Amino acid sequence: MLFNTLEFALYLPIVFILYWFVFNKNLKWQNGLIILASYVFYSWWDWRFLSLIIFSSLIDYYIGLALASTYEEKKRKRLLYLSMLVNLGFLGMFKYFNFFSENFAEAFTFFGKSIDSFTLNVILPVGISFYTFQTMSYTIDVYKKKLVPTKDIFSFLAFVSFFPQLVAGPIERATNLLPQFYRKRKFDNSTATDGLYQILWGLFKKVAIADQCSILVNAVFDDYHSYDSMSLIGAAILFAFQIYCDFSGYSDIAIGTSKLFGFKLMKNFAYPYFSRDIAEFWRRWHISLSTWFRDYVYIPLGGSKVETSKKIRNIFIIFILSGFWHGANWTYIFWGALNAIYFLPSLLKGTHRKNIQAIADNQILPGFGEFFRILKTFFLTVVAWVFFRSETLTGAFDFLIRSLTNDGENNYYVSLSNDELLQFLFTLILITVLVFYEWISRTKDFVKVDVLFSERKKPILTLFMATIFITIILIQTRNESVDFIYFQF
Amino acid sequence: MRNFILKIITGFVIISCILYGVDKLATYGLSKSKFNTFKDLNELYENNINAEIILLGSSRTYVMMNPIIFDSILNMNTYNFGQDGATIHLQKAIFNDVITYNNSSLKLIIQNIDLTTLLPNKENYSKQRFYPHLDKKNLYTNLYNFDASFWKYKYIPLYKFSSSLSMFGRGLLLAFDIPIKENYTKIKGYRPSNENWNNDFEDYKKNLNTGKVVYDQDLLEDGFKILEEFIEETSKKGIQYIIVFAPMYIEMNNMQIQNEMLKKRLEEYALKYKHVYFYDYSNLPMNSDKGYFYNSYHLNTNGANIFSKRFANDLKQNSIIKK
Repeated sequence: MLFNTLEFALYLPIVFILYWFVFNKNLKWQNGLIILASYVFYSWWDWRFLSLIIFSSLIDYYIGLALASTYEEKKRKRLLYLSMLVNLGFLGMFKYFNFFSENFAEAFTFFGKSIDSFTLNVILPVGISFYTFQTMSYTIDVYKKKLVPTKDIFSFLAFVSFFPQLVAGPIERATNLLPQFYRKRKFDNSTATDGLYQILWGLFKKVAIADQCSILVNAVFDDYHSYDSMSLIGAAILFAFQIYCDFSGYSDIAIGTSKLFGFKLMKNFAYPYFSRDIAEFWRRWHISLSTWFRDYVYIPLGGSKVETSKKIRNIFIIFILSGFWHGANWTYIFWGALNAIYFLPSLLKGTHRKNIQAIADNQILPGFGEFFRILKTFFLTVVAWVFFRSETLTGAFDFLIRSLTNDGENNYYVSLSNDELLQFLFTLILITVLVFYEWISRTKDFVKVDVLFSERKKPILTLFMATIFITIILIQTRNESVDFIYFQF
Repeated sequence: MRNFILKIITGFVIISCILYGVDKLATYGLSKSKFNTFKDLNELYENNINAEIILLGSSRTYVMMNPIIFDSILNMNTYNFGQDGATIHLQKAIFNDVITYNNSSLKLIIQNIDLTTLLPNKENYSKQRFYPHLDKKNLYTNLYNFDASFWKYKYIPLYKFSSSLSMFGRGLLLAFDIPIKENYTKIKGYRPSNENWNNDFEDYKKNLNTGKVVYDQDLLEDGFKILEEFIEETSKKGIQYIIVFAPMYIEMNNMQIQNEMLKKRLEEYALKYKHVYFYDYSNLPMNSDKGYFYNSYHLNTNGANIFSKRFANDLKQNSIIKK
């Protein structure tokens, strides 16, 4: 089930009413409802793959219990490896098998031998990378004795499958989310209202901006040979907004929905395009994944507290893994590697934690230097996004070269109809609204539509703004709901 | 909790009222539009059509039958209600209203029939022309029976304007009588297509493995049933009903191996019912000349004018129109 569909608009109030009015007396029942609601939510896409989630949950639940009752280090390690094997095995089979098989065959061709690659005709289960990482973090934390394993199977199943964040994150840590299933949730009026604001803002980003950007972005990226430089540059910039609004929009809706049920999920985005350097960008972009790799890969490898060559190695490892997590394609790997290259100078100079204070602190606008650094960082991310969006590595390089060399005289310009042009200009206006609202909210957890109003005028003006945003969302809705980009990861 | 629910309900009601109000306003504006998409049905529901002959069908009627030529040769007011992508199922949905709201005594209905017209196809047709009139019970019921997704356009506020900002803006401006540019480039519902032969047919052939086109016979039979409903209703209302197989590029005509069956069935209808006539233009010499077509299914303006003249003259010579 997609958040931006009518089905979800009906599903959410039903689950909400059952949760607070029918199942509210008993915590177990409430958790049971969450499991059921989550499984229905997932089955809407394909019920067959529900078995993977259930299997993966049960394995980690029992391994967690076994880890707690075993003191022998060898046995504990074996249990951890078993969990890794099952989780990464699923991921490997469904997501990476064909990539390795094809590249293996190609490598043989390179050495003059020819073998046929064996590929599996399987579809990628939605959200597999997200819930796999979530359950793995549980087992690793239990293994490291940072977490006491749960004996409450209902809570554990609900933690793995919690529907707001099941298919596209945030990738929750058991230490944050699991304990929330043990406690009785109390309804809080202001938290729930905040949740609604966040859902509205997420829908605005997804439907009104990301889906509209995708029309032009797809047209240009799918046929980039035919477009002039300005169109290519424009499409690359629009893709930066598309992917941000698509993914952070999903996170906003997920976090907002969780608030309606009395849960607090971790923040996944913190206005990343206002970052002043790449290190800051990665502290603000897909925070739940970045911190996952930091805690479970980077720090165990020694982090930055090792000799320089190992520091460089560690950075490349986490960025390349992060790229590979997104998909089995060299473009993602290169995207990761490119970000590592961007990141390295500040790490080696020790300036990677330079920009931790608020942007334009206590000022309305950034200073010239700060603004320039924001622009520079944005430019670097746009270049990297070209690799992320392109089908092949050579395609990405070609796209970038043509962005500088496809002059209008030798190529035909993208010809937009009047309707498309109007739509495009309107989307640009909405991007400006997005940037404006994010800028004035940059010190807050999320954007609230009432941020501009004084307490006295708040109720009426908030209603007015909400109406405007809903109107925009409805008008911008595409007739067919568009999948969230991160579903494919 | 009570406060929250109350807040949600109040907010929902207020916002819904505003959204419905804006929707009504923009829809009302569209009902006054003279723009290509809306003018024909707007005129119909304003009782301004006054046609004695109505041309029905898909794009093959829409771009291939020029009503001005019918007017001049038959000396009767003609209007083209053909629509891009409209199969017989969709044509049936507006058929009753075309008769009811046409402010004149309708004498003749001419409908182009070919194999694709008989197949149920809910894609590739424009829904927008119906949006200002979804409050008409009969039209809405028929459209809903054809495509259930129409409920969304009727009941969800502003949904009909999704991804069509210009339509929304047009509706709002017209609602307040603010003048805007309203291009109507059609001629009494007919859209001339002054184009040369393009590559569509060559691309189509490339994707066709067998070189033959065969459609599902059961689906075609369902289409025939609807055609029989047309025959029945025109008979009840005393309207003459002319079925025409308009020119099709010869190669495409030969590729569709069920065309002979179709024409035989249409001839049988003409023999069986007194008010039904069948005109077959699948073998005109012009059908082998790409100069008259812009693709295998559609004549260009020149071809459409020649065909319209020929067809209108045939009707005149056969004196089948009851005056």
